[in-house]
Amino acid sequence: MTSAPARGKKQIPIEEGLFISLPQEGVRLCASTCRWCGETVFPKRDVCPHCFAPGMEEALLGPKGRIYTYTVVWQAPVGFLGPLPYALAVVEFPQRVLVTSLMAQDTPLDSLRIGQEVELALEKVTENEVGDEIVAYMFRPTLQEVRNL
Amino acid sequence: MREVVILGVGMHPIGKFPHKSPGQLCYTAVDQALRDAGIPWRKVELAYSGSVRLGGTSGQEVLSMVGMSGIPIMNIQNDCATGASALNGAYIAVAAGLVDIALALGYEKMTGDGAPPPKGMERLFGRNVDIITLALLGKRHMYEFGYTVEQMALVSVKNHRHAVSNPKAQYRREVTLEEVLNSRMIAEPLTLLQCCPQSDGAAAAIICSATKARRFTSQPVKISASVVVSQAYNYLETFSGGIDSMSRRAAQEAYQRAGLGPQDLDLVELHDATTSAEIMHYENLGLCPPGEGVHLIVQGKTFIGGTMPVNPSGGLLALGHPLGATGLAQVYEVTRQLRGQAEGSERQINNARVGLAHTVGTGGAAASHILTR
Repeated sequence: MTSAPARGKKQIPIEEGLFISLPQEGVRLCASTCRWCGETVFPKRDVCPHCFAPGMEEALLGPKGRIYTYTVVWQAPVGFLGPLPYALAVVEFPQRVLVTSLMAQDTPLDSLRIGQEVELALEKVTENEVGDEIVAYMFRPTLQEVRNL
Repeated sequence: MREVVILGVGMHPIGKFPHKSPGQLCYTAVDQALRDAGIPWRKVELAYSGSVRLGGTSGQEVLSMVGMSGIPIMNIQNDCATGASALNGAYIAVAAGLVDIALALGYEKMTGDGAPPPKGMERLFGRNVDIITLALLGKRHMYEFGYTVEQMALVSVKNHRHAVSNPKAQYRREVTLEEVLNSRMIAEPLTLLQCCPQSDGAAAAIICSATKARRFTSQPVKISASVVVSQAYNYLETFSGGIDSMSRRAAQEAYQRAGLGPQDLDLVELHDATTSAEIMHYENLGLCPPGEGVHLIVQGKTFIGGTMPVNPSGGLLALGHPLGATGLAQVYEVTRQLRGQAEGSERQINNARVGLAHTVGTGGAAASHILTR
């Protein structure tokens, strides 16, 4: 699902340390799991916010999760770059972690529902001054879900 | 800990005042509070001052308009709970016996506010907007408890009606349910009239030890509980900044400290940043069991004249929401109500004796104050 960058253009993550893009498997989010209480948090942390123990282990989230809640935004917040309206979703991953991001741009806005299965995707957010793509993780409905519509 | 009372309250009207400085807004609020308390500025021994956007030592700057008396001035920045947190700080100082008379001040200038360019994930999301978080929470709440946006939007009809005769309110016009639903969409399910506006404003309270207050007034309003909490980790609230659980804990702790419960309240001023927020906070503050918040508005119970009036001032939706000032604007309203001095016709709640003020800021703080007479 990852969109291949145009020739000669680099893909630059919107922020370091949030996600990795694997050649075969696609996008995964970089989370931490607590060695003591097992809580998983995203983004990564050094100390567990749940039991306060130091020493968290790296964990990866994805590719699939389910929509916990969502909205369609019609008025852009200050600094928002993309077109309006857009869908924003909070997705629950199996490790009991909630992650917020936009739905990929080609997602039909009226197709969303709570409980729907989605997967991670890498999408272009904007370009920098030399034309490189600034990319971020977003969500898109899984093929399974699209067929059921 | 000593008993603490509210000696005086003051407030600049809420609205858009692009030509007024924060100092001018604050002067009006503090001057009114001092007159209401019947004391001169030099009697005030300490001040807690709060603003979300102005920050720094803006408290010193705005209070220099009243006079540079050399007292300790503490600057509070605690998101939407800033004004209430300022009151909490002043309350602790008086209750602990460090000073007898203190000022709590909250103010905000949102019109003409310039923002720095976004960085990192802000380039994807835009700057964090609580309205969007409350749209996400509202959508989930409607899904879990099965109610409609038409029901939820009644909150806006109520709060606009309450504000009509309030001289301090930003919007003093009744709105119909159709107008609310047909106003432009902001973030589904929230339309414009279901979201609080951007506002300028300032509000202040002079507080005093109960013993010393006898010299100044025979009708003090007592602070029976002053509580501020932050978010305790829960993965289900990582996207919402703990709005719900912080509000629940701040209310429960306030009831416990005051030795009162929701059934004792005559009025509530709560943080209705959106219609969805008001319905969730009915439940969070224990005004009804979980899942039944929507019934309170549908059955008209939270209108003035209902069994549990909520936001008689007009709330954030119609009174307005000058971030740092809001907590003290609520305390202004509750204090006036408990004294039988609500401004404007048909806003006074008969024989009000106990009131709750509640504010909450995403990812930061929730505050509850119970005031009694």
